[in-house]
Amino acid sequence: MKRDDSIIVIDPEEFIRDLLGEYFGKLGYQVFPVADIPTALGLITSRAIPVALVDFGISSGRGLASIEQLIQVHPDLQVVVLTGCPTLDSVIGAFRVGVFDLVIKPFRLEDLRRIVEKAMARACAQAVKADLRRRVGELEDIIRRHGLTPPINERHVAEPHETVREASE
Amino acid sequence: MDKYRVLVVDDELLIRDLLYDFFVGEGWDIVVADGGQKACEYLRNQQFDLVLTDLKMPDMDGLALTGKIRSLYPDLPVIIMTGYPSLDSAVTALRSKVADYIIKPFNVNHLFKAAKKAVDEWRQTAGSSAAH
Repeated sequence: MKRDDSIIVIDPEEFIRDLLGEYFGKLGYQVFPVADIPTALGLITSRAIPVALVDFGISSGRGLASIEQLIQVHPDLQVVVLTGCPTLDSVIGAFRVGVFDLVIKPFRLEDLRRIVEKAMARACAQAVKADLRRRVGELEDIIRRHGLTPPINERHVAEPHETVREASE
Repeated sequence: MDKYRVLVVDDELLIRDLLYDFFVGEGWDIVVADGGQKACEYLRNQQFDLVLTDLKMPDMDGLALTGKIRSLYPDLPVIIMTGYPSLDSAVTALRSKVADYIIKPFNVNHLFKAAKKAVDEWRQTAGSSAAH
């Protein structure tokens, strides 16, 4: 785990915020406990937080709508939903809006830790992928602007033939 | 843009026929399989943009098939269809990163909308990066 990995805990209950803050803090994560979505939105932007632990009961029963809002504003954020009373509709709704995982209360902190690690790994992989896509896009722009496509393709194709020819000589 | 290509896996002939007619009518290429084993055979030899699979099937259930799909194509969209929904299977499906979990009987227009959304998103992200 990288020491600068951070988690935002969004839960109206102070006890849960404290518990998760202390547990993940001891594991080396930087934890930002907040009680509501508006506070979370600003913090995620300013701190580039990759993972959120969100209580499904946030926003007085409008949890799913709030989680959807969170994901729309921060599509790269990996959201883990914590719920004490899951229903089929809430589970289906959760993955339709794109949550990373859903954990049913009561849960073992050790299990939640494993899920958070997976969420961190996914966030990291997505960031690398996005960066690679951006770089490929930039290279394609340069190639297009300078009309370099044919020489690069020819060289790419020619190399194996040259190797074969040298080997047979 | 290539035609969208979907693999439908269901042991019920009625569902296979219904979806075949509907998706062909929408201009999609569609291949149907009557079970998980047959679906795996198609997946090894052909390319698809989406798999629509029933959950309960005699030879292999939809979640086991999803696991096999993930080992072959980690990002390929999968939609689960089921007449026997449960919290456990929904959570497992969520963890398998399925694109949707549709309860039977379904409105075929809703299913098509979910299918199109899944493929559009996949082509925009994983599809475009794979093309590079």
